[in-house]
Amino acid sequence: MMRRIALALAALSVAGCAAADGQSSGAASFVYAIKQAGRSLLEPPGERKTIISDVKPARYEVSTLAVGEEKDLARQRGEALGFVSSPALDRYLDRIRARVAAASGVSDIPGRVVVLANPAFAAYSTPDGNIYVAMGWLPYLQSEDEMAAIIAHELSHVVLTHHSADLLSGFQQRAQSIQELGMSAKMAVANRPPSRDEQRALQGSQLLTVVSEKMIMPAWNRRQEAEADLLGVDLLVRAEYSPVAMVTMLEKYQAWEKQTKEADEAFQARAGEVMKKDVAEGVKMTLNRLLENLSASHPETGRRLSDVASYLDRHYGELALPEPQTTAWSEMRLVPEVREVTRNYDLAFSARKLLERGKPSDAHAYARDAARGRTATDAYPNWILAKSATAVGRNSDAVAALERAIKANEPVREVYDEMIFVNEQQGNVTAALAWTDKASATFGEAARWRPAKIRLLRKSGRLAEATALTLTCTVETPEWRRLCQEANQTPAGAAAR
Amino acid sequence: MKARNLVLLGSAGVITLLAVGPGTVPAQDTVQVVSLRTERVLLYDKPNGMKTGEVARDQFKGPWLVITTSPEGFLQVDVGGKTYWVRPYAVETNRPVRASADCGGVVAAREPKAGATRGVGEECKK
Repeated sequence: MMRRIALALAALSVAGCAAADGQSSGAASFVYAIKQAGRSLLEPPGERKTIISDVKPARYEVSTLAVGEEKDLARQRGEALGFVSSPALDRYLDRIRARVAAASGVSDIPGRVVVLANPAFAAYSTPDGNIYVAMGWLPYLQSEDEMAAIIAHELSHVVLTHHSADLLSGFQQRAQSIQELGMSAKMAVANRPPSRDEQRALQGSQLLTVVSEKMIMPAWNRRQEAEADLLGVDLLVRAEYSPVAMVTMLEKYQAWEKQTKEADEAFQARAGEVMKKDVAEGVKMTLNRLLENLSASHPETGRRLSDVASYLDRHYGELALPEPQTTAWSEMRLVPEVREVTRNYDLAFSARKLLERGKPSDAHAYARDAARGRTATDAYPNWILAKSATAVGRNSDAVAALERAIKANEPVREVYDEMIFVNEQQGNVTAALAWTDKASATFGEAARWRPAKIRLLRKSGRLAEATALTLTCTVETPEWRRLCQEANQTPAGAAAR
Repeated sequence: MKARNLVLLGSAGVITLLAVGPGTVPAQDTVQVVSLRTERVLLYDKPNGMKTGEVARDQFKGPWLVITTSPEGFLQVDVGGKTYWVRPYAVETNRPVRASADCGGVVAAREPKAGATRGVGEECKK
């Protein structure tokens, strides 16, 4: 078996090199990424001149990490709780994005703005230029300018090709995966355990990856966040939005962050308790938290606020501040379609919370209201309705809601996860396997379902396929390799009963 | 009517003065500048108006009462008994900020990221 892996690995390595050689822009991005990493150790961004002054007006060059706008949308659907479907809201946000993008001087930037069915304060962008904004923001923003600030920040990442950083990180992870696989194959062929030197080399490589992933890359990412804040300010000014909105938006984020601090304090108290009973475990918990804090990808928000304020003072101190556009924002939120859709999703989120708190009747009442009108066939409200209907014993309602959730235009990952889980629990491994394929196809061939598929293949006794998929997973998507490898350790043939 | 709800009407500098003095405003409703974000804060005669002075961060002595806010966001503040306008981003106030993002709903917080992403904020911490 390991000989086959060794051969497959060799073939993959050759194929990988050929592909890399064939992509000169990939190599250029890689070089750019390394140069940018070096820059992060030098002066703070925006100190002497505006960030926009370094952005050359030109046609946007598509990132080598881009997977295609539609595929990217499909993958991101699988990452969260689905997208909120409201054409009126989408059009409004895309108009803001177009206005901000035009201000950058860079033309043909791909992508669109998507509202995530997520009650948190979150937003992110991808190499395909798509901008994802969680609907949790909507009730708390007070002007179009604040939404423009979020979009300007995200678009800045795209314009500044910050996603190239992931090229470096991905390259390193992949190199480590290949090294690990190579060593395993070598051991199998030679039929001996690894020597001390080989073990040391592997440990060195693993340590380098950890240091890079947890300390160097996050530091670089924090610089990128600062740059995105500052270019965002430039874009707001050029697009004739109020740049103050970047500050007020960050203040809201800071307020949200303070709420999560309580959870952190609870953690410290818990670590203290553990320390009293088990010093080693307590130290481990604290070290893990220290590492987690070191690896935070964003600078502390108070610092971000000061940096943005200083930047505004330095470069736009004479600028007459315009009034933020509060009317346009309020009017958009009062559009019947937008109001109904956001209200219904809020009900669905509340229903979920009630369900988690053990109040199924209340949850069911909320969920029924959530899956009405314009969201009657949306996946997320129906998914919650199915869960709450099951909880109150209305099984036929649950099945009907689940069917609507499965057929919805905007799919939700959890529906697929549930179908895999239920079928597996009932011993219907073939059906569960089919759902992993459906999920993968629906969500842009995302790697997320590979561990489940490997586990199910082993349960079906298809061990060679499971191993081949584990190999593919390890080499192509190193971030999933641990879960894939663990899945390939599960007992085989359990489904053959 | 509370001080912070009063706004400057128009750009001609017509200020709606307070009916109540700072001392009569309940403490919990008083909005104050509690620190300066920039190294120096310029003082203006009106929103987007003329500069009439400046205060360095290390010269800031205690809170400034915020009297009102202009439509552009400028804050009218009481500095040692005199009123000035300051740019809103340059100062930090104790004004409560509404933000109630519901982390409880984020059951599907993103796991090891398969895609390369960049964001305004991080996900809710568990």
